[in-house]
Amino acid sequence: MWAIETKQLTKTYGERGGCQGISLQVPRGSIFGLLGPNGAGKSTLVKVLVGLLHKTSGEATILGRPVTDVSARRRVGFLPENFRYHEWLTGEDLLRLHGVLFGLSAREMEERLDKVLNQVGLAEKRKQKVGTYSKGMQQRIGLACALLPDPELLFLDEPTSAMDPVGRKEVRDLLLQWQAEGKTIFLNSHLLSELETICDQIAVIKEGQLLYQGDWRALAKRPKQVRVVMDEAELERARMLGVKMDDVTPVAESLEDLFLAMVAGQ
Amino acid sequence: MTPGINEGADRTTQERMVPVAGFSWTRFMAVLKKEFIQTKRDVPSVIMAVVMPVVMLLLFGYAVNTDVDHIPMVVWDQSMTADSREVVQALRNSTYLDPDQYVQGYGEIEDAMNSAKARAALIIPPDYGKAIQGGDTATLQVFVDGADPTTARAALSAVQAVGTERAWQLQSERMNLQGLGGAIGRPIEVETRVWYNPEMKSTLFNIPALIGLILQNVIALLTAFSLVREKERGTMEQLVVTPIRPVELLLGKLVPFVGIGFVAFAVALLMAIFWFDVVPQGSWVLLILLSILFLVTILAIGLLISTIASTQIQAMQMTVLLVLPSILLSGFIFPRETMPLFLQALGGMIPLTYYITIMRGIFLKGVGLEYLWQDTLILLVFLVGILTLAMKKFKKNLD
Repeated sequence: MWAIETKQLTKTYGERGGCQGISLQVPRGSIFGLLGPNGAGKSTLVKVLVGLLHKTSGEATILGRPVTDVSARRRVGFLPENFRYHEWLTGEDLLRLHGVLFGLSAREMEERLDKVLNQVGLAEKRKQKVGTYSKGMQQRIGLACALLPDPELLFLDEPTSAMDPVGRKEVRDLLLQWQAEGKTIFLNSHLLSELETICDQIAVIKEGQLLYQGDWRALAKRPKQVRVVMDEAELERARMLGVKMDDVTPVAESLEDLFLAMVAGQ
Repeated sequence: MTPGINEGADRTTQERMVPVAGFSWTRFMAVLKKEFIQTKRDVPSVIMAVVMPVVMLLLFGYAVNTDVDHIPMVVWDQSMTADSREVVQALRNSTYLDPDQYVQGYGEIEDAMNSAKARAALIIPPDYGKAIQGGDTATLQVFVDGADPTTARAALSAVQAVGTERAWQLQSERMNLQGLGGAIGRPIEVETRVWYNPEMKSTLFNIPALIGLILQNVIALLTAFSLVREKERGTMEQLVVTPIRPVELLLGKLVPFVGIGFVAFAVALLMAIFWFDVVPQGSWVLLILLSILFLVTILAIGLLISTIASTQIQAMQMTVLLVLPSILLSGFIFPRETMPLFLQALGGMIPLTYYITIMRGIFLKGVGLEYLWQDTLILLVFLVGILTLAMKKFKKNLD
C-alpha cells in the first residue's frame, strides 16, 4: 500500500495556477522529496494532501484513506512552510493543545511531550513563550507539533528554512531516524543538496504538471563525464601513450544538475 | 523497511480510527480554553465590548433626538397691546416655540431667518388689539423656515393650535358678553390619549432600538475580526490540519463571543435603565431569550463575514456595509412604512429590523410572544439560513 497515492489530482484557483493531473505514488517508509521552481504548485499539492485545500478533481488518498476523511489526519503530521504559532502559548502548552486535538491520552501526552521536546532540542525551553523563540526554534516547535501524535506520515514543508547549518544537520539526522522507525516523510524543499543526501525518491513538478517521479539516482547513474586525477608531468606522455592514472571517477550528475535540466525542459 | 514495522503501523492505524468520529467534547473544550485565554489577552476587544455600548448609547441617545421644541422665533409686534403680549405668551407656554426676540420690520425678520437665528417669525399687525377689542377678525401672520420640514411642521402645528385655542377663548368671551354664555359649548371635543409613550419622548423610542444596533455592530465586528485575524496570521492552518471537526472549531471560537456579546448587552441595558430611565415594560425572560437569539444571529453574520473576507480591512468594510443600511432601513430612525417598497424589502433583509420591533414591543408596549411571534420566527429563519451558509463557507474557507 502507498503512503500517498494521487490519480489525476487537480486543484486550480479559478482558471489559473495550482496543480493539474498529478498522479503520484509515495512508498511507505520512504523519504520522498517534492521539487519544483517557485510557483510550480508544490505548496498547493501539499495543502490538498493535508486537507487545507479541497481538490478540484481527481483522487487522492493518504494511508489508504481519502484526503477528505478527517480520520486520516489523525495519523498525519504537518509542518507548514509559513509556520505561525500563538505566540502567547508556551512551547509545552502549544504541544498540549495539539495533543488534545489529536486525542492523545494523558499518559501518551506525557511520554510523547518529553520525547519530541528532546528530539527537537527544546526540552529546556518548554516553559518559554513561543513568542520569545528564535525563528529556528519556532521551526523546531513546529516540527515537534507535527511529530507529537506519532504520525505515520509526515509532511514537512521547507523544514530547515530558518535553521543554521548545525540545525539542518540535526534535522537531517532526525529524518533518517524517523524513517528507521517506519515513518513516511514527504519533504518539500528547495535545498537540493539536502534532499540529495536523504531522499529515496523525488517528484519534480513545474507549472502544475508532474515532470518526473522516481529514484533520482537511477537517472543520475548514467555518467556522461569522468574525472581523471594524474601527475602533471605525466600529462603529456599520457596523451601520447595512455599511461598511469591515479584515479578515474565517473562524475555522476548531482540532483541539482538533474533538476535544472528538467525544469529547463531538457 | 521490515515487515514488522509495517504490521505495527497498520495496527496503530486500526486503533486510531475509532475516536475521531462524532463531536468530541475534549477537542471542543481544548479550543474553547485556548480562545478564552486569547480573548482575555485581547484587551482592545474587551474594552470595545464595554466602552463602545456606553459611547454609542450616549452619542445616539442624545444625538438621535427627533423631539422638536423650543424653536427660536422672532416677533414683530406692531400692536404692542395686552392682547398681542397675550398671544406671544400663549406661544411661549406651548414650549414648542421660543418667541423671545423682538424685531422691527421685514428686513430684520429676513436677517434672522437667513442667519438661522430664528426658524419662525410672528407678525402682529398694528390694529390687532383694536380688532380683538372691537369684536372684529384679527389676522396674525407667521413665517416658518421650511428648509427643515420636521421643524417647520412642528412650528406650524404649534402656532395653529395656539391660534385656534385663543380664537375659541375669544369667541366664548364675546358670546358671554352678548349673554349667550353657557348656552353653547364646543361643537366637537377631540379627546386624545397617547399610548405606550405618553410624553412622546424620543429616547424611549430610540434606546431599545439602539441596544440592538450596538449589539449588532460590536459583535459582528469583533467576531469577524477575531476569525479573520487568525486566518491572516496563519495560526488557523495549525488547527485545521488536526483531526478537529469544523463544528468543534467553530463552536470553540464563537462561544467566547457569546460571553462578550452578553457583557455588551448588559452594559447597554443597564445604561438604558439607570441613565436614560428607559425600563422594559414586558417580560425580562422574553427580553433576554430573544436577545440571545439575536446575538447568535449576529455571531453567524460575523462568521459569514470572516469566511468571505481575507483581511481585517475587508472585514471592516463589509461590516460597514451592514451597519449603514441597518441605521437607515431597519426602522431605527425612519419609519419603514413610509419608505418605497424596494427599500422596505431591503430593510426586511436585515435581522436588526425584526429585533428592533421585538425590543420596542417589550420595552414600550410590554407585549409578549403572542404579538412578537412573527418577528421571532423570522429571526430564527435568519439564524438557520446564515449559520448554514457560514458553516458551509467556513468548511471551504481555506480554498
